[in-house]
Amino acid sequence: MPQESKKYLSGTLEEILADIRHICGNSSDILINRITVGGISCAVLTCEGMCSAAIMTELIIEPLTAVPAQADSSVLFQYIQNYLLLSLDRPVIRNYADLFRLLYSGFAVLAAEGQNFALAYGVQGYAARSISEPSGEANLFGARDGLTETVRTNMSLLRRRMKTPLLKFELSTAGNLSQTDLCLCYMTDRVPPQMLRQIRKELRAVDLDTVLSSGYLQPFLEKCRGSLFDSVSLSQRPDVLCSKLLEGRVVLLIDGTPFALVIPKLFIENFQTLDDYNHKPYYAAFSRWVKYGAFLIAVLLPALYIAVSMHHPELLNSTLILILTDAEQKAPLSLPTETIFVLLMYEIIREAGLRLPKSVGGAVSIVSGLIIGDAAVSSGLISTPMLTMTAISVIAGFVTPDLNAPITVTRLLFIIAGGLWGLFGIGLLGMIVLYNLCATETFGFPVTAPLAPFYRRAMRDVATRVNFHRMQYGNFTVEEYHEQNS
Amino acid sequence: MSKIHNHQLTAILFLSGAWSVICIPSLYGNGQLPATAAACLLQILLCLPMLALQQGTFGRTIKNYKIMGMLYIIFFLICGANGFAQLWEAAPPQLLPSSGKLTAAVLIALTCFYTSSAGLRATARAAPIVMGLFILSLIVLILGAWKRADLNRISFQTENFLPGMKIYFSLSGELAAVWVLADQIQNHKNTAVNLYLIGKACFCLLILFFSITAGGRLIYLNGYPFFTLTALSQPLQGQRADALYILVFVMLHIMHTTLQTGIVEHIAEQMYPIAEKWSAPVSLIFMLILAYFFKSDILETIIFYSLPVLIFLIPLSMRIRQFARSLHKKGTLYEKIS
Repeated sequence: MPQESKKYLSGTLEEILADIRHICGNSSDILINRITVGGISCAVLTCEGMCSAAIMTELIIEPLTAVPAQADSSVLFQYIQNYLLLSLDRPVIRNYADLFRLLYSGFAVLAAEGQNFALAYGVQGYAARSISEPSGEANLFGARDGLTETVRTNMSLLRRRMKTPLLKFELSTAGNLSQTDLCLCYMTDRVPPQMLRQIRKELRAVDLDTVLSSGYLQPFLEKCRGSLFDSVSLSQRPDVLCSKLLEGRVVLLIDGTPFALVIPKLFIENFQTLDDYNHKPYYAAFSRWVKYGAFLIAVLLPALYIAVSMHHPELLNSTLILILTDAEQKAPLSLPTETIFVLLMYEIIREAGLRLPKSVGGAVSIVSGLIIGDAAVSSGLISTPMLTMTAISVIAGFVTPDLNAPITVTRLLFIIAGGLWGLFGIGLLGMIVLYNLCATETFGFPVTAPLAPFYRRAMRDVATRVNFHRMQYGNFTVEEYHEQNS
Repeated sequence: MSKIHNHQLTAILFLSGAWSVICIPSLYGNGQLPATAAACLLQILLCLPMLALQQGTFGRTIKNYKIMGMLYIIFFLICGANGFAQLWEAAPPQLLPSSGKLTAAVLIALTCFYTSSAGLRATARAAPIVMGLFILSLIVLILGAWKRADLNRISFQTENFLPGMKIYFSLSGELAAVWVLADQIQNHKNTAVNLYLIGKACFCLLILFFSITAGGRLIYLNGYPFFTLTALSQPLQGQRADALYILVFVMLHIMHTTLQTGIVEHIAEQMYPIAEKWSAPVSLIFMLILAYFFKSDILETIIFYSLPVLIFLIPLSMRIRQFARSLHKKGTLYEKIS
């Protein structure tokens, strides 16, 4: 914010309007309409495109023009405040910083001659995306509504599901220039007070110019540097967010992004979906174990294939050895080089498919999958068993989309370690990754809980998934996992 | 740092001890089984007074007696070095990378540098997970050995009883860690230590029992019961599974060395806070140098003779001193009142 914007409103109406024009540099989107209300000279300020013209006319202009003659501007403002309910959201503005923040948030501002404060009215009418199904986090049985880019709409989505005064919303702003609205949501009876205090402190310490997405604030809430795994999660589903709130977590809604941050996150949550609680417990438990297996396959399968083929062929039976030897003899590259090449190609194709328009994205898949893939195998550049292993590993990675980044990087590292030192290298890197995971924590919550430290009671929703008859008892909150500093 | 949970302490001590157990040489064949059983029992009995003596005052004590802190640092460096010496002597070549044993040791040291920098808290959290994997592999190992086990190969021999006991005692360096970490442990420290002692004894006896019953005189060829057992126990038909135990082998050695390095770092940090950054790499280099120049039997002898001093005599002297000071304080108070 420019230095002048910290000034208080003072002087005549002309001087105040001159200051406003000066601070915003005569920006074209600031509309200043002079009007006489109750015989007093006033000005209505709005930002073009941020207010609804219909609401403005109906709720602000029409009632204001009907105001009877008043003695002076202070009596006028008193009259307006006491007798006219122009809008439900009507803060009083005393400085230019607040004036611009509200103006750019879609408020109409009324300033009058001789007054050193202004009245603001919430008449927002900017174009916003309507509530629709989230593009990620697909669920079979979950709700079909997802968060939008408007923080207040998102607050209402949560409130609709939690009609209790225990759910509290705390609005604040972040970003020196963007003044992005943030909303801290928590259940007052369940949230760990110490964590809440620390989160508020961290958010106050943010000194960014803008907050354009959740990724801008995530590093401030993750206390562990150099970690491969997230300790703060993202969600665009209000039903998921409500379940997290019930466990005593804090949800941070950010204006301008449909992704909310959830603090803290546990590693085990990467394998839990809302559908698990809609299926029968036996199937939910089965699908959980499939996901655990898929994660290990995604990270380790290509590396194990390379390590076993190159360093420990005795682990394979004779049929497998013959098949692999036959396939690899024809390939011109060494196994690790071949695997890394295929994985890098996959990453390039994925990026291309992601950034291109959807209509072209499909064509990329066809060209890459059918033409390049088939041609590479037929020409003998890539061996079929290796391509099969890599494809299985990549598909297994899709099962836990939240772990895409660590899976991609660790898979490549494991391939290098396996290629160089066989199972010995995989063992070493495995320990490094395990320690990295175990050292990750945020606000005193280890991401490895409830496995390490081990909480037997939590296994009912980790090793299995018990039914709601049993789940309804226990009143679990995340505070149980907090490790006190001594 | 937050307190170490009891189950985490059990897992840390057990895994560190398990590394020593898999490197136990089979010097005395059948005679080693009763000797080890007796040593296990004796160790449990000796640990009861040790636990009573050790209180959570180690941090305060070494700040006043830095020489004592140095003694413990040297001891843990020797324990860590012994781990590397065991790696060089015990590990069959097929378990290590083809580039050689020195490369293997350096790679493990580099990994331990990272793992120890993650802190004792991370070690405590990782230990139960590693323990789960270890127990799983142990079950596979025993299922494989079960088919070959022949009870007739067991014979009760008492010759070389005392040297057999000595081996087991010299591989219990982690007992000294209990006092060092005492102020970091939650309640019920005694239960955790007792569980560790019982677990380690069971594991050791299990390995000896199955290596003798399944391997017979073959254990003399290899010289190390655990590695003989991994070679003999093949759960799958038509393919050898020895290589899978590399993962167990690596995990145990890293846990063992990380514990020693982490404790050295912990003591050094309490004595000299400035040592926080460089204590881990320096201690790992020392461990490698010691292991390079000394054989494991020399290091084990040092551990054997210094262990009673570190886990019994020093805590005892501290308790006596504490008692004398409390008597002195009472006396002064009495004099003041009278």
